[in-house]
Amino acid sequence: MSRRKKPIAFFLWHRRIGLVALMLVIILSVTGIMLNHTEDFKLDETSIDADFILDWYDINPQGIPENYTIKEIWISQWNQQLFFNGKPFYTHKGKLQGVIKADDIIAIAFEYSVLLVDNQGELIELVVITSESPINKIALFDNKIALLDLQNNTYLSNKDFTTWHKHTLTVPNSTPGSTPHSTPLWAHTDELSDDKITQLKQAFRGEGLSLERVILDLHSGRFFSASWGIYIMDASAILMILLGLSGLWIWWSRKLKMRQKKHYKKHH
Amino acid sequence: MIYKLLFTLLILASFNSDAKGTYQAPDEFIAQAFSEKVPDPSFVWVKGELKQHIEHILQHKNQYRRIRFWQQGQRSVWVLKEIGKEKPITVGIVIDSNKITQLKVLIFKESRGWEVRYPFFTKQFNQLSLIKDNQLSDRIDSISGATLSVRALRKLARIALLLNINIQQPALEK
Repeated sequence: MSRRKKPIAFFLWHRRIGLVALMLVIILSVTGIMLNHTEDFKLDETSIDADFILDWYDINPQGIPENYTIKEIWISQWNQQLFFNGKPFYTHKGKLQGVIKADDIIAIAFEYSVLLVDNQGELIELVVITSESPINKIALFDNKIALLDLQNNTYLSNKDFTTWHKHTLTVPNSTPGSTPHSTPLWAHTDELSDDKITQLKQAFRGEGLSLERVILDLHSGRFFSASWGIYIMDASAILMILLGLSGLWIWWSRKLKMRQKKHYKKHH
Repeated sequence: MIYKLLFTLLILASFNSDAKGTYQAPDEFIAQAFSEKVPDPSFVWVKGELKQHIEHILQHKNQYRRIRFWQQGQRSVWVLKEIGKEKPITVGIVIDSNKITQLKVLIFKESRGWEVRYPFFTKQFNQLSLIKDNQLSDRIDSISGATLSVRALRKLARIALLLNINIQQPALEK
């Protein structure tokens, strides 16, 4: 009984291996043919726009950008990337809390620091703020930078924006000819137009992703995972070897059986 | 035998991971550098000829246009950063009368080359000044396996001395 079951089990495993390997072998073969004709298919010239693939490669920004506009300058943050008039210029892990302009210096507030830049987006200094809690707001006050933390403590800079001290923002007596910023002007976010969001998205993606890169990664298995993806394709190659060997075994055992049958018929 | 070997490797691994981190907070270093009250920070603008000199030393673009320092009489204190291989090394440098009196690694984030934190290495910078072509007045012996960290510290020492000269001769920045 068990002797008769063996060939059926072998056939079953041969079929299972074949089915598992089929999908991967199709990917391997199709991508292989495409890569052999990269120039004909214009793989290197075609860039990927599909969001789900860009998300898969982590080169698509998540959520919506935060933006602050001061006259003709707009400073935005999307994920950790900062943009100056739509051009990436700095990366920072902290969340953007506001932007103000004092004379020729633009102050960009994060939760624990203030980045000073000039009108062209050149970095001046990243000043670490030792506040009691994370910075929540930034304002221009009397030509100085005022910061408000989450516990409603306010901090006022010196005129060079090198140090900040705890301060109560009292409005000075208004006298003729007094400075125009005698009341704190808090920074407010504003919404970006669709065109500007598209500009930021393109800037975030940089040179983007070519179809050739995706096909190469599918072929090598790295598309599925950078670390273990290649082993999937290794496994498919091993399955193909097993499939060939098991096919050979089935063919050989059938041939052997036919010979035995012929031999039996001849002599009986 | 194999357990002993594994134990030794574990000890070495933990020792190596402890080597990364903050050895001294920059504020603490600055406070220690002055016997009395810490002066308010001043800053130097990196532009013109000074910018060229600094970028020549760094061999890359200088990131920030303003560098802060603390000064009292002939003494100035600088906290500067430079990347060794991949991550920044923060160094505190005290200069007195145009000579380095202390150089200390404050924050180290690289995965190797942390030996530069030890005084046997940093004390080589003491009493060094700047000579022709913004070079240090004496050679600094390297540490095998920490070449890039040593190089970063050499650069920072040269930049601090150059900036210190600049704050006395502001004409250089024009």
